[in-house]
Amino acid sequence: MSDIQIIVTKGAYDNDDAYNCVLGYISQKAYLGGYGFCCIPGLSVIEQFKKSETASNYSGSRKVWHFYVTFLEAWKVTALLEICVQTAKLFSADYQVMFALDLEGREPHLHFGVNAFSYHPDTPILSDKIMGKYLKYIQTLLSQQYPNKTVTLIFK
Amino acid sequence: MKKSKRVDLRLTPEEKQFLKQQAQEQDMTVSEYTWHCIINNAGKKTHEQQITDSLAENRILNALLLHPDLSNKTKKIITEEIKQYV
Repeated sequence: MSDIQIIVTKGAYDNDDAYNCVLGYISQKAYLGGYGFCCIPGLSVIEQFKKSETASNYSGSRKVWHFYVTFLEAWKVTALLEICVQTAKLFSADYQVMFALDLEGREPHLHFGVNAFSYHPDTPILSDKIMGKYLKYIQTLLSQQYPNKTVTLIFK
Repeated sequence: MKKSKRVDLRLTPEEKQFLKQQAQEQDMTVSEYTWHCIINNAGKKTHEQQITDSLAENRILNALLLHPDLSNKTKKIITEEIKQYV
């Protein structure tokens, strides 16, 4: 098993409650952050994600992407949060993203929920191809930052 | 006050017809309906603008999560606050 694993969860995520499921799950974790939403009464973060789908000039079945990063051993919270923010920032110019750090269990997990629909109506959806490029870039970035660690990208 | 000023609007025949229909449905003149739409939408942000504006708030919250002087307990409190809006 490699030191760092980027795991993309299989699934169409095309169901009506996909945003609720992914963002609801992520938001239960110990530390939470992200880009592309505001904390205001009356319009939840989930509703803000949904509005991007409604406003988009593109159509697609997938509503949201969910991937997580696991570590073979315990890391400092600050170092893990830095990876969270750095990774989420990559999507932020075009896509809303929520991240969470999960410290339950033996290995820390970083969870990411990325909207498949851009908040810019004329920006294409986050297709398999585009997401593949993002994930490959994240893998490369982590490999460069932690040269003594092995980083793998897994779809399961 | 007397409304004496004019504004020219260039539209396609279809757009003009649509505007007239919308005004009639609201029992307004085209001038009244056009002004009504402007007033009701003035200052309203698009979703895109709202999300773009929210990035500044996100940067602050994310920076607090990374701040070396804040304890993990404080960062968890920040998280609990964010959770209320999910």
